[in-house]
Amino acid sequence: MNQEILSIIWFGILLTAWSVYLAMESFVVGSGMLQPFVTMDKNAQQAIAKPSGLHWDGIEVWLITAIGGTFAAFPAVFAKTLESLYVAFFLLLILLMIRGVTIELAYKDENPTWQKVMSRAWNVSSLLIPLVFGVYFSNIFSGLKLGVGGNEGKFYEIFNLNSIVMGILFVAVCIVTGSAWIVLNANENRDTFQKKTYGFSFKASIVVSLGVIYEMMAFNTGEGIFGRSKLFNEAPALWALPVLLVVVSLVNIFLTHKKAIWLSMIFGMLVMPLIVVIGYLANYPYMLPSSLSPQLGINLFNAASSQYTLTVMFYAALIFVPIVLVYQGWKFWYFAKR
Amino acid sequence: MVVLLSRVQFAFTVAFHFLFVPLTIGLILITAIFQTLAVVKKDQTYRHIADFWGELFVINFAVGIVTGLIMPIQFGTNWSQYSIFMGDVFGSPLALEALLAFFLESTFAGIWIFKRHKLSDKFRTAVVWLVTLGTTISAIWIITANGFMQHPVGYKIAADGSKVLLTNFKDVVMNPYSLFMLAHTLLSAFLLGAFFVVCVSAFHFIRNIKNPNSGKMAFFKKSVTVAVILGLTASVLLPIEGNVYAKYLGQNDVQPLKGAILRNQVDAQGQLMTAANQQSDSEAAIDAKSQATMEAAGSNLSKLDRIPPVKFVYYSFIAMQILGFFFIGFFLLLLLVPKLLRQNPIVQRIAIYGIPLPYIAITLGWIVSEVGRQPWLVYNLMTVEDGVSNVPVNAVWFSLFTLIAFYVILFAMDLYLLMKKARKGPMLEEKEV
Repeated sequence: MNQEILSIIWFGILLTAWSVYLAMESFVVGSGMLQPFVTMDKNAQQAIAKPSGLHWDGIEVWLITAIGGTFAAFPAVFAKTLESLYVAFFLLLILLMIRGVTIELAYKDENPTWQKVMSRAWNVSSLLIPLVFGVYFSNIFSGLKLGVGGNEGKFYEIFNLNSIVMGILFVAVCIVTGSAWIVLNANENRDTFQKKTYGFSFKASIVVSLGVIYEMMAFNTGEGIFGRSKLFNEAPALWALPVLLVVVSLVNIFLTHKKAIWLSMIFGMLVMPLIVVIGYLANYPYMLPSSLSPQLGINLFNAASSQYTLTVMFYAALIFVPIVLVYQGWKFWYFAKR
Repeated sequence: MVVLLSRVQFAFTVAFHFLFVPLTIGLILITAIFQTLAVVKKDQTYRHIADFWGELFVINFAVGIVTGLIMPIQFGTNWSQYSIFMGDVFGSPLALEALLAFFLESTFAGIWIFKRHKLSDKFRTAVVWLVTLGTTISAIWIITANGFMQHPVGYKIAADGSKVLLTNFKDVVMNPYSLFMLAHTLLSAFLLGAFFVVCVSAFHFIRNIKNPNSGKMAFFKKSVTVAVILGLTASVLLPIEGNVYAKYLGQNDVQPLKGAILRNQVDAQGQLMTAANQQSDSEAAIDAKSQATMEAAGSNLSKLDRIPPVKFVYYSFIAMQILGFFFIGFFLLLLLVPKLLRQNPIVQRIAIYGIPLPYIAITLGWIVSEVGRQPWLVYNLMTVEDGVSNVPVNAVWFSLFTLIAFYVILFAMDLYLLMKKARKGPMLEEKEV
């Protein structure tokens, strides 16, 4: 395979890793942010935390794979993205660290103060993680102020109307899938959990739809998150993706209303991956677009590693990604009711 | 300033992360051994032993995994020039570490942490060995990446000089530097795990000294037997392997200057001392090679800027060796006269208050390895200074201080939980946690 095809394949592999990560992370952080609103009973709270504790760690490795894979396949994209969003990445890191350590250690001590502090830190970090991811992707897709010497934008400029809407949209998605995840894992508490989460889930699904429609209005206008869409005009079949995104989020209002737990979870899990895939495709071939001038953005073909590196890594991914999917799938299946 | 702060931040975060990594590697192996004994000997005591050490593993693992997350991120945030220059070679081991090791480790560690009390012995044994396999594979890949920085192989420089290109993946994986380093790292982790078990056991021997036939005494006696064998094996193999390693790295085409420092043949100015006349051709080799690469890189560092802090590296090396011999003596003593740990207050105190020693030895070893490579980021290819990101200095101050504050809290949490669990000792009846 030549380098151009390999670069495109790697672009696809990274979109897959991001999609798998965001789809699964949604219900883990979702359950985290909802926990105190669903129940204040200690045992019931633990019943919500444990299934997420069992799986979060294996899920977060998809994030590391997406980031590490970018490093291996497109070093310049990796380096320039992290350098440009320095402060944002450290905020995200601290949040991910707090989430990880609290979910693992919250119930490792009987001391009630310990459990309370750990649980609240878990709740707050779970709420902020998708918010930061929404802001992050919004900024990537609408383009950083990348000049010749690097990012010319200030830290606080990452917060703007588009990015905050995207952040809220991501949080709302997590509430929908997190609600379903809490109910699916409940045993004796199932009815109470379902009653408590219903309102959150239904309202969140409306917020998701409003957010999606708001961000989509900019589609193909040249501005905003999905403003550049050259590829969509060249390959009209791709229009199916934004249409699917709108349909999925609208149908999910109906599904959450009908309490179709499984379906609302699956539909909810599709939203963030679709947004990310559409966002990257809209900017194709730029993986890190510049809002100052297109040429200053980082193009995936220029940033790609050598053909040899891409080939070695391609075979590694070809063998090991399916293996990982199988044993992680097995784990979900095996522990679903245990 | 950005260079200095980024170096301080990297050194701080990697040293902190590495407080947890070796204990994770050592304790999971010990847990796996006891869990296997539970199946082989069909003795439930071993299941309890595996549970106890496996619980301490979990606390340590949680902090290890979150502090590890920051390491790959920093290559982009703080060392972006390095990442662009080296990405073609260096990115792959990191991505492979995630794909081959982290998934395995974290997927099955989750089962161990949250579900182990509900699993059969055979199932548990499989889970704990898969976690052990994951941690070991993880060590292989990260040391492969570090080995390239120490001794670049299997690469060429791109035609425009802008980056390093991978030419032979097998050479990178089979880099002798990495293999020596891997063996040294794994052995030291086993030693630390063994010392940790001895330390906690000594505490319980003191506490239960009045009833030597209690269940807890038997429990820790069994733990110590395995730990002492593991600790003695590791501590004896370390200097043997280390000796070959040091000889190898001192070769003219590896890191002759570091080798000469370890043999105490270099003065503070980086000049070979006269007593080492027989090594004079190695001085020429040092000069010729680094001169040529410096010129190729267009760098204008003076000769003095091209040497690491010689005495710091040398004395770290000596201190590590002294500690190494102490460990051999200590474990040998415990093997020959096991009852000393149960009865002799001096030996018990050495075991308890000596727990920082293996950590210190490991940190000293890393100082030799990483400070001894300065000022190179990638040996003879890129200096630390050239690798740094173009970020505002305030941003680095912010990340450094946030991390220090957060890590102090993490460390306090870890210590609190570890001490509490370790002091409490095992629950000798099966109980849901």
